[in-house]
Amino acid sequence: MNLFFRISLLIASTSLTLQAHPAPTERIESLSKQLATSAVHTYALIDRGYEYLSIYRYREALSDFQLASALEPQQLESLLGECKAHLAMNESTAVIQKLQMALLKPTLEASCKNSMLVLLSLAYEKEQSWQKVLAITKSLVVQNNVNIDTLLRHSLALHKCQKHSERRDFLIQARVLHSSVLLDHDYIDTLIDLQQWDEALPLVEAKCTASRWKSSWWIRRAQIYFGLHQDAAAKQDLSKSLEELLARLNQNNLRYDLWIERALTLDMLDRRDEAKHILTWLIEQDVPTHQLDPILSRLKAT
Amino acid sequence: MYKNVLTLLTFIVCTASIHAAKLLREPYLQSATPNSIVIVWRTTGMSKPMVKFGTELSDLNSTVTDTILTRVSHDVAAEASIPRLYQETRSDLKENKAYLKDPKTYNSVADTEAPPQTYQFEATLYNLKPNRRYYYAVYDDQEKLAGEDSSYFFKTLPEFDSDLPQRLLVIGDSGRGKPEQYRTYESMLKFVEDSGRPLDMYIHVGDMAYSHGTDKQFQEYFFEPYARTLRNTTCWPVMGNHEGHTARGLDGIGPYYDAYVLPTKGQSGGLASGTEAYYSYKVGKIHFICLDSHDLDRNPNGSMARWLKADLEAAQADWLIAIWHHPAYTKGSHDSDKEQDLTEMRSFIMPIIDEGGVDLVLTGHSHIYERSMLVDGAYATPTVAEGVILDDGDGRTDGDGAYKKSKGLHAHEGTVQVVAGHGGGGTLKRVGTMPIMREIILEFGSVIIDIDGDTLNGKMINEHGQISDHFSIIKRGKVSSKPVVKPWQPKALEKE
Repeated sequence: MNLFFRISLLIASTSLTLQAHPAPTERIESLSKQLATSAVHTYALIDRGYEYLSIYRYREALSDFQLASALEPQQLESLLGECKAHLAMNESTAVIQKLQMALLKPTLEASCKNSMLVLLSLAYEKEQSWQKVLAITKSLVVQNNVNIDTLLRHSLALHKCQKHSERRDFLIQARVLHSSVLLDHDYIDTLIDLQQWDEALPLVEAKCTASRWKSSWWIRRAQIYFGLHQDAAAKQDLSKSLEELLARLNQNNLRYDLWIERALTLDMLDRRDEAKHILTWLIEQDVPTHQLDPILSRLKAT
Repeated sequence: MYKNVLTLLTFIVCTASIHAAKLLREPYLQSATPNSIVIVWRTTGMSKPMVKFGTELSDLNSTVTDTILTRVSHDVAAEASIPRLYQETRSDLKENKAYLKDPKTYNSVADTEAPPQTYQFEATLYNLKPNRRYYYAVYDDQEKLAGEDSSYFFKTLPEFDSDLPQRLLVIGDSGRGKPEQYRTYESMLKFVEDSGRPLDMYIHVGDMAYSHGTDKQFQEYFFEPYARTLRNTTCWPVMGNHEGHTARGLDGIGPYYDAYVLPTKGQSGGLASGTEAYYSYKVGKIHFICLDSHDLDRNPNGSMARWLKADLEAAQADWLIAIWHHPAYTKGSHDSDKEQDLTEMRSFIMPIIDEGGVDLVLTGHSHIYERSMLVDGAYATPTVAEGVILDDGDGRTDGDGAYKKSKGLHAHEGTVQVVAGHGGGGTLKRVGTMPIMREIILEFGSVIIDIDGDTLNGKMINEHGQISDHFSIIKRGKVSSKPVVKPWQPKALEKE
């Protein structure tokens, strides 16, 4: 590496470090000066790429990472940067192509391969290719020290692929190894998917009692009551849910999940036009389709 | 003759070092609950760890030896089943900014990992009584390493339905070992001593170990400077971006995660998160939520946001306080209208916080002290004050009056945002004017929060020991909140 460049970069970094951690724009300015006055350096490009990413300048970030990759093709950090920039721009096909190629390398370190697989699963998720997401998460969860995010993504993939029994069995095991309320919630939802009403009901009852906000649990309990042909009790829960949601939602509220809950409740109460009205509004707000799945699939079914 | 004496001395020193462990990191307190606490310390060399404790300093009549988890640096020849402290891997280096800046001079052990022959002990003390002070000492077999004086004590948390007053210390962006850091700390200690009301907990809002959160930087810039407080006050941290240079929230590995033992199973009062990256705890009727704003998915459908929603839905408390590093609103050394981490905390996380009924949000990152009016629903970029300020007063009982909210937890009654990135680690800076702020102060300092029943009082103590800002929130009766038309605005910078 150019000695002058290394020294000047070191001086620049040191002065920035002593000053504070600079804002991304300042850091970009400093790195750009260095890159303009001396030989182009891979790490400076990568660093600048990440700074661009942090201020939504994805094209410039991608360009830096690509240049770094061209300078040092074996450098995986720039490849991961490229994929992150592509993902931020919803260019999942590019991510899939790059990672599939990179994963063919026989010398990949296990942890590095896992990082790539996680990125690849995110790209497939963007494309709604849930079978492929599932294949990846399956390969990850068999490893030791798997993180909670991977467990939850695997649970989601099983749900999307309608593998409810497999999901239930997986969650029984995962909950023994990891304490997470989200795994518990997924387990309850799986029991409902499997129409195991008697097993699900006491768990949902406990949540209805313990929670401060109860609407999502009342909706779940209503599903169970409908399954048990206790329609009056179900409708009572749904009415309570509507009332609570009204108190929680206001004109500034961006909690789309609560609007989805409201649409779902209305639909379960046979107030389909109101549900569709909310759904239309949510689509206008650019809420991702996969978030709307619970209400979309219900409306389709009815 | 001289040479022989030196050889003999060397032999004696070496023999002593083989047989006696040396205290490497002073004991500190973690994961308190009403009935348990974790005491952590480190030694160089093998030790037979033991904790003695009791309610009387003169009578430490209880002993713990069997509930002590030992973790060792990776060079220690120990059984494979003994957990290791962080060892940097090749792929970690790819995300390590210290390495990226200068890969050829980078040295994992010197720069990031625990020193050779490090033993970290994490002793969990069970069956304690709530809200009780215990004195303690840590031992290597029969040799005392630290404690057994009046400054080594811990206090268990009060029971979850207790409304005993609580005092919180909040520090952010401190860890660089600069004189400002020490002055800020000393002035806070003096303020606390003069007030006659000791601290109940220490909250660090991140950037405690500049510049890369390495093990060495943790030791020099966090554990050593704050040892006097850490030995008797439980510290509840969130990860800053500088710790994030060498730690990964997703996997919970790195020097940051070595340093802390945080409640992942809901044992301190919140819901189980399954990760130390985000967690909650409850002190009496105050519920605290700690998030990782640095390197986890901030998306509303991401695991952290989903857990946050669940935790808030389940929370039963009088007060809700949320803590993370990257402020949703700032124009200090960082600009929340331009930077993704900050903008996402505002547009993705703040709607959940507002709807969950949170009262106070504590952050850092931006090297400034900023304190907001009572705000709700400020999600737009750029941030504007119109339509989002519920009370534009100064929040002072000796001024326009305290901010008022209804008793209990209610959606959309407003939060106060405190940016406490002025702990002495960075250069103070203001790039503009955040329109929801009531106080914008370019001074180093810390924040003391007192909560007593229905009243929360906040004070900013500057590095000279003066109170530079104070505010109050009172939660009483039923309050109806509406946005103020044409709210008060902070004075803009001349260049704006």
